[in-house]
Parts: sequence; structure tokens; C-alpha cells
Amino acid sequence: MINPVHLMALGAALFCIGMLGFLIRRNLIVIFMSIELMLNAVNLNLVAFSNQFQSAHGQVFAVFVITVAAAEAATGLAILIALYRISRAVNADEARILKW
Amino acid sequence: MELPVVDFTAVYPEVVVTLVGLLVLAVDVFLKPERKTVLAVIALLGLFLALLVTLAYYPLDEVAFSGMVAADSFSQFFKLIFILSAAFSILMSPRYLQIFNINAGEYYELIMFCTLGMMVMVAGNDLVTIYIGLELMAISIYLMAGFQRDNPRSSEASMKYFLLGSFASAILLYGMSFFYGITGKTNLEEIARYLDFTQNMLNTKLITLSLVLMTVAFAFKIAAVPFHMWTPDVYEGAPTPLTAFMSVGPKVAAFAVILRVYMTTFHTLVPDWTQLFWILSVLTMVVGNVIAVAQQNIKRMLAYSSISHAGYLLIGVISAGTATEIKINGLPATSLVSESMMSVMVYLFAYMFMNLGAFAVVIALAKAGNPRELLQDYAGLARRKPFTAMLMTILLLSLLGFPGTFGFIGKFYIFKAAITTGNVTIAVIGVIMSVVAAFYYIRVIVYMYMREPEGEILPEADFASSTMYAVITTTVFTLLFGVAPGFIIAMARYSIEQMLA
Repeated sequence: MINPVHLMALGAALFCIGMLGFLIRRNLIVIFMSIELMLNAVNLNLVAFSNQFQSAHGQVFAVFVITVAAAEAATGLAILIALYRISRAVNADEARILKW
Repeated sequence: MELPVVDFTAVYPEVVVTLVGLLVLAVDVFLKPERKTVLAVIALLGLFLALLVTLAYYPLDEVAFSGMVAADSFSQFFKLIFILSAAFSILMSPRYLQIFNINAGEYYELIMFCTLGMMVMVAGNDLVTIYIGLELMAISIYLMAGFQRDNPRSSEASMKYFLLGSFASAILLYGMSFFYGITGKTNLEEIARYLDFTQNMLNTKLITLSLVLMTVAFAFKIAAVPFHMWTPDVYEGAPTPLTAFMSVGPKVAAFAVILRVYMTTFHTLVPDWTQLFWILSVLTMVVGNVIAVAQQNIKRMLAYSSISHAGYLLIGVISAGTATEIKINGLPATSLVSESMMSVMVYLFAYMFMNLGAFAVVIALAKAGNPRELLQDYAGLARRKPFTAMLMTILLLSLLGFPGTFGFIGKFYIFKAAITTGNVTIAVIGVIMSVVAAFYYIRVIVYMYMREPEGEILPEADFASSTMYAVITTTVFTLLFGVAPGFIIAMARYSIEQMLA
């Protein structure tokens, strides 16, 4: 039987993988994907708790998170393309004009 | 099934800002690139209308939309700050856009929607509302930071802000999901009630974890050290009017949410979060002020100065937290709590005027092909442009906290709150760091008044009318409220009493 603790553990694992990916990977698109992974961990948590409490709040919250994540992905890719047109790179190490 | 009651009186300012934002977007289609200034006029009129609507319904005290939105005088106070900061930023924009050849109407529309996001955020009485407001604000700002698409600096700033901002909001959400998991509620009042009743029976480790996650995310938004890395880069790379806007708006909104959430919902967790904020505050003041000393670029210097201001503001938040635990003759010291919260609100109001003013001066001096943001560009300014130099001096002295300016009033109440609530150590650190701050603010004044201009002397830019209006108005308000702050203080006090009642 799957109980909320299992789902929370899965959520925590996803969140940590996303966070590690964000911190370690150098390709900007992979970094985006890592952020999406973190958001999905949140959604999993919310839906699991929602099921546990038998209340719709968590699911509504999850729907909002999915919607905003879509808007954020669109924004992020637009910014990425703008950056790519100038620097011809999608590598986080290349973005170093501004520092200190 | 009963449908929820829709009460629009609670959100009239938001409705006005939304409609004007959409109007700007629609009118933009019909305008030639050289006539985009019309949009600035529409946006300004719309913001003026929103200001009037906010004031007309002052003071409100209601919870609308099934408990999602709290339309109280606390949120109205902050809505005034957002509307004014958006209006000043728009006032500074036309000249900058003209010089740097940015002809896109979305510019004004994004400012309007960012303002809307901030307004929703402070009126949020539910974790969902706060999150939606925060994201609307943040997404608009990611785009605004990258508005000069042909400039690699701008794109890079936008990218950095986007990545770190969405990372922070993922962390915030993870913390929120745990609060939902613990309490089964997303409404702030219901969470507070749950935490009050079940104080000793809950999984305290999980609560602490989620509190830390949410605090980290808010620390990102207020640019507290060690979560400040994006600030100088983004402030330097973004177009200056937007730097001015984003140095004020998101920070003020995040502080408003911190005050509301931490003081009303998490008030049973005070010992935990005051510790967190204590560390953040000290680090922020020390690192912000010390690194600002080394800066040669004025925008970067103002970025570090805005980081250090977050540190001072956190002192007020900590005082408010500790005040809830102080008992005088066995009774809770409510006046100490409201005085401490008031100090933060007054400081934020002061910060808005003086920071926007300082950035407006940077814009007023910019010229085509030469943004003139370096310290040596200010050498001998007093001789060439005595009036601008004088205004800049007043604004910098206010940022420093010089008596007679609004900045002094803010700092005075913050430190007073810290001392009356027994947070003497952090008050002393704050005062010492203000002395360090004196070095870099006064250095600009020294450059303006006592240095000869270096290199070839370029002919001065012509009188930048709308930008100068912004500079003059902010300076006048800085001085006016520096002498007579009673109005703002009374408003802040009233709204806190209403919220805590």
C-alpha cells in the first residue's frame, strides 16, 4: 500500500535531483529542466497531501503551479533565445560579462 | 452547491491596473514607433486613477473571494508604495528609451502587470494568492531586465535573474507544500489557527524545514546575503528605469508578505525565524556595505546599497518578532509589536522615494552611446549641473540617514524599535555599518563637488524634462516627509493595529 510518506519521499528525491541538477549542470536548457523537476516534486507533494486530507485545496494549488510553470518555461526559453542570438552559446559558464 | 460571493470593492485598484495594462497593450498596436510616449501618458493616468481609487476606499477591512484576498489598510498602504514607484519609473522611462532606442510598447504594459502582481501579493491571504502574485511580479521583471535585446549585458542579467528567481520560487513552493501537508489548509488565518491549537503535538522538524525553505525564498526576493548574488548583476545589466523599479517594488512586496505571514501566521514560531533573520540581517549589512565601498559603477554601488538596506529592514522585522514574546506586567506588549512593524513600513516608504530618486539622477545624466554610470563621470558635476548635483546630494544623504531627510526617520524608528525590544547587539552592528555606508555615499558627493572632471569634457545632455520631474518630486517628498512624517506614521500604525486586532 502506498501511503503519503512514500510519496513525500519520492517528492523529496525529485526535488533533490532537480536542485543538484540546477547547481551542477552547465547547459542552460538542462538547468531549466531541473527547475521543472523541482516544481513537479512540489506538485507531487501537494497532490499526495490533498489525497490524504480529502480536500481539493492541494489539487487546486497544483493546477496553479502547473499553469505558472508553463508561463515560466515560455519566458525562460524566450530569454534563452535572446541570449543565444547574441552570444551563440547556451552554456552557463559563458554568461560572465557581469561580475562583482 | 453555493457559489462564492464576488466582491469587487476589495480589488478595485487591481482591476484598474489590469484594465489599463490591457489598454496599453491594445493601443500599442496602433502607434508608430516614434509615438510610444503616448503609452507612458496612458499608463501614468491609469496609475493616478488607481491611486485615487485606493485612497477613496481607505480604510478597508475585509476578506474577499472566499478568504483568498485580504483588502485591509495594510495592503492599501503597500499598494500606494507600488503605484507611486511604478509611476516614478514610468516618468523616468521616455528619455532612457529614446536614448537607447528601445521602441516597444510592452515596456509599459510589463510595468503595469508587475505592479498588479505586487498588489495581489500584498493582498494575498492565502498561500496560492501570494504565489500567483509573486510569480506575476517575477515573470514581468525577468522580461523587463532583458529589454535591451541587442545588449549582451541586458540579456545576461535577465537570464541570471530568471534562473535564480525560478529556483527561489521552487524552494518557496516546496516550503508551502509542507505547510499544506502539516495543516491541510492554504489560508493564512486557518494555518495560524491550526498552529496555535496544536502547538505541541506537531512534527516540529517538518515545520522548521518548511519555515527555512520559505525564509530562503523570501531572502532571495529581498536580496539578503547570502542570497544576493543576482542583485548587482541584474541591477547593472537591466535598463536603468527598470533597475530603479525592481530595486524598490519586489523588495517592498517581499517585506510586506514577510510582515503579514511571519507576524500573523507564524507568530507561534517566532524564536525560530528571528534566529534565521538575525543571521541574514547581520550578513546582509556587513557584506552589502563593505562590498559597496569597492564599487566604481554607480548602478552597482546602488545595488549593494539596496542590499544593505534589506539588512536594516530585517532589524525591524526581528524587533517585531521579539516584541511578541515580551510581556509587560504579564500582558503582551502590543504597542512594541506595532511600533516595530511600523518602523519597517515607514522605512520602506522612505526607501522608495530616495532609491527611485537616486536612479532617476543616473538616468538624467545618461547620454546616447554613453550611459555615464561610472564614478568618474560624476566628477565636477556640481559645476556643470549644480541643480542636479544638489538633488543627488539630498537623495544620497537620505539614503545615508542624514537628519532632516526621510531616510533618517526610517533609520531612527528601526533602531529605536531594536533597542526598546532588547536587540541591542544588532542595533549596534547596524549603526556601525551605517558609518561604513557614509563612506561610499559621501564619496559620490565629494566627486560631484570637489573633483575636476577627468578626460575630455563632453557637452552636457539637454534638460531631461520628465526624468527631472521624477528626480524633483522624489527629492521634495524625501525632504517633506523628513520634516513631517506624521501622516505616513499614522497610516502605518493604524493599518498594523487593524491587522493584529
